[in-house]
Amino acid sequence: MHNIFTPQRTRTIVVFIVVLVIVLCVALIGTRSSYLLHSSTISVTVLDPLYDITITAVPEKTQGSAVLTFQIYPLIGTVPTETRKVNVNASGVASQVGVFQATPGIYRLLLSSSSHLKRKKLSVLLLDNVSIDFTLGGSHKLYAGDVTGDNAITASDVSQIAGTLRSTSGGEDLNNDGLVNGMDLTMAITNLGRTGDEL
Amino acid sequence: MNSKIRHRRQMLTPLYWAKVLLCLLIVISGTQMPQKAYAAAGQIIKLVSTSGETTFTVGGCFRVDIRVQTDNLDANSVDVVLPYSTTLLEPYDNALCTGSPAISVLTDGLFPSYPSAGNAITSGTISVTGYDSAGTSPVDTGSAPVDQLFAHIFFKVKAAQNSYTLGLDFTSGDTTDTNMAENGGGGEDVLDAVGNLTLQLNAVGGGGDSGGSTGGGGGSGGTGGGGDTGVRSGNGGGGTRSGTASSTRSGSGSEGDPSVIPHPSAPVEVFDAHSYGDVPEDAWYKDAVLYFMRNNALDMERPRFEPSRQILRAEAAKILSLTHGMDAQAPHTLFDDVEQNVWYAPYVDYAAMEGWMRGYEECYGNVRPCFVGPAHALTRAQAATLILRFIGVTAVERVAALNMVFSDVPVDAWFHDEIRSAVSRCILRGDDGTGLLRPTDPVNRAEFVTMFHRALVTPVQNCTSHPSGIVEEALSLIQRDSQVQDSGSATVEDPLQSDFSLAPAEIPHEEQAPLVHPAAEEPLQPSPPASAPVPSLPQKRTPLLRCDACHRCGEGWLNVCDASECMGLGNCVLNRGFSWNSCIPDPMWCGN
Repeated sequence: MHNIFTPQRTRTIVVFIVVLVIVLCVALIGTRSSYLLHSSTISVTVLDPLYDITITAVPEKTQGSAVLTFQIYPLIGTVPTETRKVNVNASGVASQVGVFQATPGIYRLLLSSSSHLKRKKLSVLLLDNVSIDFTLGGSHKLYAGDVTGDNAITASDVSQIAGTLRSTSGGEDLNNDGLVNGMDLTMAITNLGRTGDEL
Repeated sequence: MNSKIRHRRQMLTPLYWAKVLLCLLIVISGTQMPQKAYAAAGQIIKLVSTSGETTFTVGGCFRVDIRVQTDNLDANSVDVVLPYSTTLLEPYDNALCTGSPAISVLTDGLFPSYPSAGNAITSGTISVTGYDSAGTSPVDTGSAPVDQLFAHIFFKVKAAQNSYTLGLDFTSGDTTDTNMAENGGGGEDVLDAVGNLTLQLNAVGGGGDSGGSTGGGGGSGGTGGGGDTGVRSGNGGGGTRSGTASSTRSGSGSEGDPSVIPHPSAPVEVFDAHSYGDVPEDAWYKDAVLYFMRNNALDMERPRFEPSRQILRAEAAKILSLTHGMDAQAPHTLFDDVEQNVWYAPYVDYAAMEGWMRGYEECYGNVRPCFVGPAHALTRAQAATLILRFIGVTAVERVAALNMVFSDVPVDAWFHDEIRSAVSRCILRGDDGTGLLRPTDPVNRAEFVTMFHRALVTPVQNCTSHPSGIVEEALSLIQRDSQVQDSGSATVEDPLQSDFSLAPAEIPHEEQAPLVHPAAEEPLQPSPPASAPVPSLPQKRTPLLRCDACHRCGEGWLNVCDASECMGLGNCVLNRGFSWNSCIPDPMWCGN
């Protein structure tokens, strides 16, 4: 019986193991590199939407800027192509709103805000630098008062506000002045009976 | 020399004269600003001492009304934020300031809804919100300076302070303090100003100044400097009176001012030369008469008070209005039996605007024709209702009134709750032993001022100590001498226990002007001369006699059938016919 671990074979095995380790290390490094490369790709996408649009919408509940939810729907279907949070300034304008998923074309748009009724726009051509006005020429704000979130302003909303009078936070503070009081009640009562848009 | 020439040349230029004109405009506008501030127009929320007094003693209890003036604007909501010193004052929900301190404000139904979540007293701040939940019944109190009661609270004085301003939290443009929102508006604050209340809080036994001062410096914040409210707030705005009784009697609080109402604890002054000749020094109603004399609610030019004469509804309206500090001519109301040029028109108008008088069957503002019966005798139930409305007793309080039963107060009578509330407040008292309260009997002048005085100043006596709610001293009162005294002044029974009959049918005119009975269209008989003997008071009546009197009911006047239709003798009710109404004896008294 002869010794199978001859010095030559031993060196070969060692070399093989070393090479194997190196290959595994390279593979591992390569995987991590690819992960980093993939993350880097997402980051680049955020900074580079397909195109930018401008949205104009004025929610009644505002003391300056406001955050709105902007959804893009295809002409058919109930699943939005894209949902974005946009910040409108005191004038109700959000510019440079990037659109990522929707290729240029015709879409349905839906805009909503906390305690406000939703407003839609149908058959809107989305292109780079297009402006979309939800105020109907500046005459229509988003109606406030839907504190129950059912997209309608009813007695239930008024009751809910009345039940939270004197509280200092929450969606019932329609005018965002830091206190739920008669001012908020009157705002809701003024819009009593209104319903929001549905797609 | 050159400068003089240059100056003369400048005077010739249009620019020079334009500058002069501008300066003049600025000066003129500056001098007129205070006048505008005193106009008392616009949307205002006011604090008013209900009794009209502003000087109180430690341990005393007083009521503060929160009143709203919308000035023809439809208001959907009102928020009131009233901070107060917990060192000086303690809030209560009753006129005696007994029990635990209040944790919420007593609301008065001006708005359809007062959510409990928005009505709280915490950490030295009173907050209350009223609103129209459906947006269909907004509040419009009419043209300024007419206001209406929004809510009220009682305060117990805990410590003395020479001058303390009870002031509403208000800054123009701030939506988190006292505010008002217009119906259909976007929730903007439309409140122009607030009216505050300056109090004199004296230590026990410290007499204090006469009168004190009312109303602090008008609106705080935006309107500042007196604002519109200054007019109705005494010192701060230089106002001489308020839409309420308070500032009328406060003013600058100068000593000896006859318009100043004395503190109840102050010694009662003796009648002077201006007192009535028919009010004896020991008259049981003297304090009440003195109170309203000082309040300028009684005509001191007249030689006699005529305590035993039935008080007319018009006269009651006058006393209520003047006590309230009627400071403006209310728009002429729509009562079809009140001519615009009669003496009582402004008082009835004011009483209607304040919501005290609503016409028969509450027709005011609802149906036409609408009659208020100014020449009709005021009944006990009507008097109680007027007074309760004046002091702002809420519906809740009325319902929660003392649980007592009077055989002549049916549960379905319109005055049922009012009578019980009046009894629980000792404004009215029942007959001892009979279980009767005689709500439809007329009230005489002494009775009325005493009832009103008790409601304002001494709201509760010992009457609640009796388990049945009937005064313990009733029997002794019944037995009082009811005969006319030689001096021409009558000794009038304390009618709050009411066991005596009412005075003669002669109804003098309050202002020596003809007052026409709306039913008979006959002029009322003038007041008997001072020297004329006052008719003696009838003896105690019995139910049998009352029934006999019922058979003498007169004819119905339109839709009204009250005591005056009964020739002052009995109780009649309206019998609605197919084409004509008539008065018949009240089955409650007379059977069928």
